[in-house]
Amino acid sequence: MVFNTGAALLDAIVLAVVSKEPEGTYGYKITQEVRQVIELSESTLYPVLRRLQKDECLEVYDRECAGRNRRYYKVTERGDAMLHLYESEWKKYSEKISGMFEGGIKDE
Amino acid sequence: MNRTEFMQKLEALLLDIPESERAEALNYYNEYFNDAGVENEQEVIDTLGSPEKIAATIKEGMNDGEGKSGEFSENGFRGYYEEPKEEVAARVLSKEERGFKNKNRVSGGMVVLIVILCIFALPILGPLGVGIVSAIFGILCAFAAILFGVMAAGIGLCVGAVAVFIAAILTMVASPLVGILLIGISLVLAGIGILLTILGIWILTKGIPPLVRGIVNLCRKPFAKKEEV
Repeated sequence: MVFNTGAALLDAIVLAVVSKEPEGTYGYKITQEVRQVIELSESTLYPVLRRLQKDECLEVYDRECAGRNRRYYKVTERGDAMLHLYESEWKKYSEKISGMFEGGIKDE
Repeated sequence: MNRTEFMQKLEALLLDIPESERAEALNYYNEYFNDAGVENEQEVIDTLGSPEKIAATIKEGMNDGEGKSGEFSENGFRGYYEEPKEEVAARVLSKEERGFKNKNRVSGGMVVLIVILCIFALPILGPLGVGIVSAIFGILCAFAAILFGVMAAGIGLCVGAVAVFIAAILTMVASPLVGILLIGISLVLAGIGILLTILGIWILTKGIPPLVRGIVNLCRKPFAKKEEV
């Protein structure tokens, strides 16, 4: 990919992926879904999840699945607020960049 | 390398992190293998990268929340070090906006600290200044005393020479030889006296102005520096 995905954007993408599932989702699935939008080294996601968990943007719980435990990640209220902030910031940012590409920004 | 070897290697590499963190990480990758399925085991190992890389990523990630710079991007561990500074700065900034605990703001405290240091330094700097001024004054006094001494000696010698000359003329009547000797002595005394007097006058006219200028400059220097700071 030509463009870098910074930490903030990566956080935002992970929060968006997890928030799609009201019941929460698990590591492997999150990785696969994130990889649909950006190129991602598979080892990268664990520290991101762990950090979001420590920042209280994600909460975890274990659920029995096919005879074994699986750790589920769920977006907290704080994480939800963060996601909204990321979304509005991204909207502003991407609109500016797109505007620039499509004919330049007129005097503000 | 198979899954078991991979996990054993990872566990060994994570021995220096807290037990809970290690268990958490190992659990995550164990689950990851489970969810990927046995048929994808080798692929997962290939795409995850080396256990060394993962261990380093986990350890760096643990420090991430504790004010250490650097973050994760889609490039993983390598990207961690290549993260542009602007992005880190933007992230810190956005964290501040979100009202996160702000560990980086010490500037206010630093200002207070400097002010306190200045207040504590006053009793030291004050006497130091007084000491320097006193020393300069002392040197000036000593110099003046030497000058005064030289002048006094010169004038004294001249006066003495005159006295000896008068005595010589008076002695000349009784004993011309002693009188001539005394005249000689009086002339030597007069010579030395005039020399010392001239030296004193020379110092007074040629020596003092540069000295005064030097001292004035010396006094100006610290103040000029203070103004710069």
